[in-house]
Amino acid sequence: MKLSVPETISNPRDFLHTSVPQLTDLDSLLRCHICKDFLKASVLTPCGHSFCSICIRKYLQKESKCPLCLSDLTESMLQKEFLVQEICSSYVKLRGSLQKHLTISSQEEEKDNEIIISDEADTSVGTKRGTPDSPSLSSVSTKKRKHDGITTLLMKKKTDHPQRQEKKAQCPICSKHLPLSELEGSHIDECLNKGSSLERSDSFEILDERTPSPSMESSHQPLEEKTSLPSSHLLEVKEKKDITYHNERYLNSGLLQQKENRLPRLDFQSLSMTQLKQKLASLALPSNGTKQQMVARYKHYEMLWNSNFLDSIDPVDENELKRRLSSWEAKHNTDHSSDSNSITNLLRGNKRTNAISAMIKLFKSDRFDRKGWMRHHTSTFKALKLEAQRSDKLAKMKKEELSQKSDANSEVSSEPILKIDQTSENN
Amino acid sequence: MSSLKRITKELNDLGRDPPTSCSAGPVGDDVYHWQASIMGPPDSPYAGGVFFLSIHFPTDYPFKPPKISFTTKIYHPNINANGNICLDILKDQWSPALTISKVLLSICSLLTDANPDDPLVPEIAHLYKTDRAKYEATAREWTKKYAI
Repeated sequence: MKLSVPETISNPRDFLHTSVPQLTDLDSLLRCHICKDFLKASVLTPCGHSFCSICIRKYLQKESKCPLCLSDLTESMLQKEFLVQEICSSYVKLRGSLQKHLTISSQEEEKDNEIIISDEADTSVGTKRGTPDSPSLSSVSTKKRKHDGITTLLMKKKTDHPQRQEKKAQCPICSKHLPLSELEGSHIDECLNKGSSLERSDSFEILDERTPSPSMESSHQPLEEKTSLPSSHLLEVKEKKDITYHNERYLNSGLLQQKENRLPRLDFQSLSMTQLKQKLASLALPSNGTKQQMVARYKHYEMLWNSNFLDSIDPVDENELKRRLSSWEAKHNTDHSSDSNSITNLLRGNKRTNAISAMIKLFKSDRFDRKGWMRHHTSTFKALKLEAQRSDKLAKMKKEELSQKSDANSEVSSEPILKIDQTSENN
Repeated sequence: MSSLKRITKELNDLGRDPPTSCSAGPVGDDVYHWQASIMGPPDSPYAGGVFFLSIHFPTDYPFKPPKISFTTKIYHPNINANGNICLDILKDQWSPALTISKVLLSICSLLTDANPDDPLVPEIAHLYKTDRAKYEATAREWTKKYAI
């Protein structure tokens, strides 16, 4: 019965078994309640709820209420929110490594802990010989364990830093990508057409030995001002690009020239075929197919356009929108090509299809062969039953645990009857 | 297909965080067609029974509600002989923010608290309002007969 679910599907619960399970909360907050994925070009409703622009616009083509609180809502009430957009894309970028580091660190904790214990045993032997105070020692090590997850993380970040810096960087002058040591050592100088060979070799040595400490700038600035200035500037530029990319984009969002022209909702009823064709042609969209197909095409394009040009902080160009439209149509038109079952048929793509779809057609009628259906799916039903029973038991056990705990906390001696009741329920 | 992605996400979520006393999963390899089971709530005449349901996702899910009906016969004012359920969130009150897990929990609470003012089977609703004991007895009898 269990359909294999790809492990790649991200779920807020991915963080439950990391050293920061509270991230589950943050992870759920950054998701759209329509597609259950991370918010894409999120928009805000007057009732204070956020959705992906595409999701909510698609929904509002048919309904006019907020999916979360059911208060009145139309497309024109939607407001773009760049901050949430950037928080989301920044988080999405970060999520993988966050998950990796937090889970890895919990595994490493165990290893580190062993080392720590042996280390401490060594030092205790060395310093306090003859006082093997084992209980206090273990309590110390467990205390360390808790802090270790974060400290190793911090350590990792610190050690990662210079390594990353040693990788490639962009020259601020000619914008070529070069290894950082080469860039800082000679390339910039060549670019700037400055500096003698002596200065160059000096700067090379100094920069190579440099440690990622804040005192670095001040330490070599007096030595040679000409080269150290651009190189420290370069560092700043690089770090900002890497680390504050989304913040920069957010701050610069006001400078973006956005097409504020909304594609209007058309009254298709009053449009003739030729008018509709003209409309599509004026947008450089294909005007073939039935009227129904053209209407669907316009509606989808309207949604793509408005979500892209009105809501997105990082809009794509019209050609990209057209590409998305045609790929959507390629998928979508198969639905309408034959009977209503074709899409499910396609997805199933096997011979059982016909038998099942025939049965499903009858499902709502009295002619439905209930017994046959049940017989056909006995194993599925058995599995489902077991699962439901298990979850039920789990919930009961949790409840009992809780009530037992609260009992133990309140009055242990005065309520022996209640306790007996619970144990009998347990069995 | 956005519906396919969303349904797969829900399936993944159900595996991670199964709802109390319910379970659901696809029939074979058809992601658009699921079966579910609900344990009769202990404080209802359906206690002890296990009820099976069939779930059908439309291709434009979650913009349209899933079609859910009982496969197991059940005596309830809001569920008819064909297993159709009269539940507002499965019709006009559907929201794409809802999930199968939440819908199943709503059906669970419908079993505990029927809604006789919006009945699908008027006779059962009438009995529910006028002779609660008799309604409960029949519901228990049906549960014993069909759901255990």
